[in-house]
Formats: sequence, C-alpha cells, structure tokens
Amino acid sequence: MRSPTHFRCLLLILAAVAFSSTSSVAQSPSAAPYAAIDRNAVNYNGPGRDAGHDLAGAEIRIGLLAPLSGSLQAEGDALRRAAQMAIDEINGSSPLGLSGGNHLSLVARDESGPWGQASKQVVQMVFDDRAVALITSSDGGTAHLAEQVGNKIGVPVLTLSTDTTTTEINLPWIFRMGTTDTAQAQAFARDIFQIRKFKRVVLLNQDDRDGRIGGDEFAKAAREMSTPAPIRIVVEPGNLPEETGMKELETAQAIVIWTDAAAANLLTARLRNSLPTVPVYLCHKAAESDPGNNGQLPCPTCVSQDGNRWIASAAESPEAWRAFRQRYQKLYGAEPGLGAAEAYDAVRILAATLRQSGPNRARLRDALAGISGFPGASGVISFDRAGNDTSPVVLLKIR
Amino acid sequence: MGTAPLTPTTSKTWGPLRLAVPPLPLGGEGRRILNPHAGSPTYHLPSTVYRFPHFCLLVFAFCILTCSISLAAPRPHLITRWENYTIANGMPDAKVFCVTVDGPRVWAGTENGLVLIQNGKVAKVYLPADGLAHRAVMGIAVDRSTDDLWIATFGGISHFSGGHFENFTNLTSGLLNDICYGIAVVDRSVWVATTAGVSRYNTLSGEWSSWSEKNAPFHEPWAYGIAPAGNKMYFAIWGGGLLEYDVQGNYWKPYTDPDEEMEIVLFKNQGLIHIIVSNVAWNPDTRMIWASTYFGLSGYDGRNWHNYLSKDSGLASDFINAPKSRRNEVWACTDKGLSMLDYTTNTWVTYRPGKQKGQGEIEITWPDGRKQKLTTDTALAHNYILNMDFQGEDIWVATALGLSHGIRDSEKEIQLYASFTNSQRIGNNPTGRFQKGN
Repeated sequence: MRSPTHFRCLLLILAAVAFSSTSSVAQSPSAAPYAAIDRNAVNYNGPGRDAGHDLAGAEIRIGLLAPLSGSLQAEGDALRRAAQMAIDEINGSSPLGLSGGNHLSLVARDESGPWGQASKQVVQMVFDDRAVALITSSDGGTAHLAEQVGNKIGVPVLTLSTDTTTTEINLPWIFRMGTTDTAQAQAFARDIFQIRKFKRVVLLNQDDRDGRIGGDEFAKAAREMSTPAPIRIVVEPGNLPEETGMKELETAQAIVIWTDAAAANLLTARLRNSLPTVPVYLCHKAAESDPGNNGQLPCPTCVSQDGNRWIASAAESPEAWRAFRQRYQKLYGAEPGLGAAEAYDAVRILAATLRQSGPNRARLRDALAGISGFPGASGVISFDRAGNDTSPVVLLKIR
Repeated sequence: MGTAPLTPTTSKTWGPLRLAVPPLPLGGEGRRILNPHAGSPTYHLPSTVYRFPHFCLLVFAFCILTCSISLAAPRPHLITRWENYTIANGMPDAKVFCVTVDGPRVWAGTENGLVLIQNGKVAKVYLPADGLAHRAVMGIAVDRSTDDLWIATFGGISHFSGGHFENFTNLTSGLLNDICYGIAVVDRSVWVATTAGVSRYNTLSGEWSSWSEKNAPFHEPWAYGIAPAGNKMYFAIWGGGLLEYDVQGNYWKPYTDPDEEMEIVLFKNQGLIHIIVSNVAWNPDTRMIWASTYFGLSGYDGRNWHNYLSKDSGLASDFINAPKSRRNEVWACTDKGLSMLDYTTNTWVTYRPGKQKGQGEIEITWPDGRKQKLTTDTALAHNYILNMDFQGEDIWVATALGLSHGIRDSEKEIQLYASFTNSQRIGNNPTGRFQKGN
C-alpha cells in the first residue's frame, strides 16, 4: 500500500508543473521577438566606392520626382522651387569645391499619373540624367518605386514620404526626411486621448495608399491606448460632396485628417466655417501645401488664422525656418509649406554630404548615413543607418 | 582520418569517432584510506590535484566528441575554382544582375547590355543600339521549344530570335509597365514581373493578360521576381509577400508575413519571414518554394515553413537578393557572399572572396553550428551576389563586380578537405558557432 506521503509528493509535483506551465504561458505574450532588424547594422556591402565609379562631368545632378501636373501640381511646383532655390544658393555662395569644379543642377520629373509613370521617370533620372541621388515627394508609392530601382542600381533616395515601411526593409539606400506615419499617429493619439481625454474622434482618410496606411496607423495607436475606435470616414477628393461626413463631424471632439494637401485644403475650409472650435490634426502630407498658391494652409510659423490646427513634426529650428521662409517669399512671392522646406533641406543635406563623398553614389550613401543634428528649415535632421530621421517628434500648433 | 567521400548520399561512413577512453576511476586504490571511526574502509573525494588529469581527459573527450559530430555530417560538395568575367575581359559593365544557362551558352544581364558567354569567353554583347529594349537587363528566360530568348529590362521586354530583337513596351503592347524585374517562359506563355503587377503574353495568340491589385490579391503591385512551378506560378512581391497562382484553376493564394511587422520576426518558423520578397525559386526535385527577403530566407514545403537567418544558421547575411534551389540544396545570393544549404544534413557552405587578394574563402557551418574555413586559390568576383544559375555541377554567379563561373573539381575538393583535416590536427579549426535559435 502506498503511503500518503507519496501521494502528497505527487500532488506537490503536479502543482509545481502546473504552476510553471501557467507562468510560461503568462509570460509568452511579452516575450521578445525571435529576431529584429538592427537599424544600426544596416550597411551597403557592395562595391562602387572607388573613383572608377564616380559620375563624370562638372555638373552634379540631383533628381526630383514630384507631382508637376494634376491636382497636386501646386505642391510639386513648390518642391521644385524650393529645391532650385537651394541649388542656386549653393552654387552662388558656397560651391561644392570638389576637384572637378562641380556645380549642382536639378532634374525635376513628373510623377503624376498611374504608378508606372513614376517608375519610368525614376529610371530615366538614374540612367539618362545620371542623377547622383533622388529626392521623392511625400507620395509613399513613389518612394517605394524609387527605392526598388535605387536598391538594384545603387542610388541614394531621400524621400519626403512619411510611409513608415520605406525604412523598415533593411535597405541601405533610402533616407526618410521627417517623421513617420506611426510617430505622427502616436503623437496625435497621445494628445487627443491621454491629455485632452477626448472620446469622440473622427478620422478622415483619403481613399488611396497613403491615406489607408496613415489611417490604419492612427486607428492602431488609438487601439493601443484602449480608447473607443475613431469614426472613420473615407474621403474621395475628386468626388467630395458637400455633405461628406458632416453628420458624424457635428459631435466630434477632435478631427484627424489623413489626406493629401489638396483634399485637406477643401476639408479644413469647410471645418473652419462649421466647426471652428474643434481641434484638427493634420498629417504631414496634408500640411505640406503651398498657401501662396491656394491661400488655405499656413505653415507652422505663419500668421494665425484660427489657431486650432496641429501637426506632428520634428522640433522646429526657428532661425533656419525664418531665413528660408524670407528668401522663398522674396524669390517666389508665396508662402512656403512644409514640403517646400523639406525639399530645400534635402538638397542642402545632399550638398553637405557631396562635399565629403564627391560625385559617387555609394560614398554619398555612406555620408548620408552619418548626418546628425542638421539644422534644417523643416527641423533638426539626424539619420540612423537604416535611413530613419531620428529627431524626436513634437506636436506643433499651426499658427 | 580517411579521405572524404565525395557523394553526400553515400557518406554514411563518416560516423562518429570511436575512442577507447578508459572509464574514469572515482577515487582509486592508491587513495583508499581507512576511517579510524568505522570498521569498514571509506572513499574520500580526490583532491583538485588528483582531479585535474581527469578534468583534462573529460575536456579532450568532449572536444573529440564535438568534432566527430561535425564530421559525422556528410561533407558537402565544394566549388573549388572560380573563373571571372569582368570589364577586363570583355564584359560591358561590372554589375551583373542575372545569369541564365542555356546548355553550353551562358547569358548574363548587366547594367549595360546582354552578354553571351561561350567557350570560356565573352562571345557577344548586345546593347540598345543592337535593338535591346534597355541597357539594364534584369532577367533572362530561354524558351526551350524554340531556343529563343526573352529578356526583362528597365525599358520593357525583348524577344531575341534569329539574331533580331522584337520589343514590347507598355505603349506598344499589353505589358503592364516597362520596369521589368523578372521573366519566365512556360509552354507558350511569357510571364513578366513588372513594377505595376504581373503580365502574361501568349506567344501563339499574341494575347496579353495582366494581374495587379485591381484584379488579384496583390497587397502591393510591385512584382520583383518570378518562378514557374509546374502548373503554378510564384511571384515575389515587394511589400506583398509571395503570391501563388494556379494557372489551370485560375486562382491566387497569397503568403504574407503573419506577424505583420516589418522590423521583427516573431517566431522562427512563423510563416513567410518578411513581406518584402526580393526573389523566388522553385525546386522541382523537392517541390519546395524558396523566397528570399532582405531579412532572411524562407522555404515552404507545402505544409511547413523553414526559415533561416544568419543568427541561427550558416547563412552569410540576412540581406538576400535571390534564392536558387535544386536537389537537396538551396543557394542564397547575399550581400556578403554566396551561401548554400544542404537541408537534408543542415550543413551550410558560404563562398566569398578571402582577405588575401585573389584568394577565395569557403566557410562550412556544420549541423552543430561549428564553423570551419578553407582557402582557395581563386575567388568570386565580389561578395555582393545578385543571382546565379546551375550548369551541371558548375554554377554561374552574377555579382556586383563581374560574372563568376564556379567549377567543381573532385581532385581539388579532396585536397581541400585534406587541408581541412590537417588544420584540425594542429588545432586550427574552429572559427565560432552560430547562435542557436529557439
């Protein structure tokens, strides 16, 4: 006959086993992932840094891919003007000073139309124009197209897109100016749900790739804060009826707009009249407009109109912004937007790094990966080796 | 130690070493002392001094055992010699994006034209001036029924037949986009992976069909690679994972990254390892599909996923431009060398240029994670590998600094393994271990 002691021991062992398995199950959700991309280990391990791969000629070309026709032409033109202004300033007052006597020039090509159009332009800039680097607009799809070609051929890409995924691929060739969709969404959500304690929030997102991705990021940020899901209204800019979402908007405590600038201009004009006191949070792309052309969206430090709109951006660099804005206004008679400031910064960053690298795409990539604390008109810019702008994101009130 | 068998499947003779290690005595007669407090003798634990030789013996036995486990794995075949084609011997550009073997002919796609290599030399270079659609050649496919060539370029596709090029662009045909990354020919169909989706051209009827996010489950339309697999086609989609298309059934099946996070792999064999798929290869022998990503290698056998990262395998790098697979091998074209996995034995071989100029390095990662290096007199043209193809037992490798012909020489292989055995004897063998995965 077995003794009760044995039975008690058996129970004890079973209990211990059950406890240990429960513990491991409880711990599993917070367990670290199996592997993670090390942003600081991203590197280009190919050839091309030798002088034999330098681009020939006294002229160093920078490619700009922007919407130069269609509904976003105003934004595209602003990017082109700002980039050209930067190039003229550099060539005029502080030339690159490279041994070949190199001077900069801008090659701007139109990304408008179906996605195929942009990729063809990228290839032409790389092969026909021999651009040393590409700057792409805030369109996420265009950024990926440039990245795909840049990755095959070996061409640095600076993008104004906030698409988080552009720099999450372990690729060494792309550098993202400004903040990500994810960081913007989290900054908005913190302010709306945690600081202001709002519950009824309306999200207006455009029916395109960037609108969907950005909208998803905001919905995700709200979910992570265990708040009620925002009311999501999909906006079609080409077919924006008068009544779009107005019923839902009437009870909104805050409105988040994730559209391009053209759609945002239409929406904010309506909101200004109908809901003047409700705070509006604009994604980066929505706030990049050139108000000199459309008279709607002011830049972060422009004169106050209603003082109730917010963007998430890198910390301001007021002196650089003021100087840029003054020159831009003088030259073009228009107010620059955020996108213009970023395009201006992108050219200046390329010029600064070209002074180190010379006209060589691989060496230029290496130099870009070392950019830190660059005082840009759009804010302070620092890149990690994966191409992310590591500047902290702050919420700025549009004045 | 004997010579290495050269055929992995018959190399069972490489069993663990059997050593006549005498049983370790616990104490010993010489150290038996009498306990004055008891009537029977007791055994005291030996002092440290006494235990030291035993400890050394244990360590030695452990080392031998570890070695024997490594050597128990069948020895993989080795590429023992490299012949390189660069600008110096006729290539039009250093960067070679793709290579396709067609019997004795080898076709290479470069950043500046299409190259034919025959009889060990660059026989002909075709440029846009000759009729090629664009100078950047991204993919080459041979139509086995006609011996014609189909070429994917950054300016549309070219059909090379009878010495003449016929070009197809999105303006002159049903091709979705002119930026073409991959091409394949199956029967009368030419399949093209373009930056705006997938196009198919029927060479008999002249009919075009296209698939993109508009009419198929493309998460993104950017097709980066293509692989025929019997009655199925597989597509590598940038941002859209792996897409499977059943040609007869006319249905699509997407495989995506289940953790839905770009910068992490949640579990080792979670499914497809990353959503950005750089290329794809089908193995007709094992019926496995292999997808390369910039964050690891994924294989799918129809039931389970088999994922590999540099941290848990002999993979040279997680940044992989393309896979290629046949028999029980999968090859990974990485930015730090060319890696080959024999997945029946879990043995890896990586080829890369050595530190000494002109010399090559072979790194073998044995199933237990031990790494060992061999040196060859010739080397790959560069460590940045973009693509490859098989030619019998040889391989052709597209690198960022030339095209490499990898040659397997049985005699040389024996010598290399002999040098490896000798270096073991002088204790110069281990170079590290990979981190074991969970």
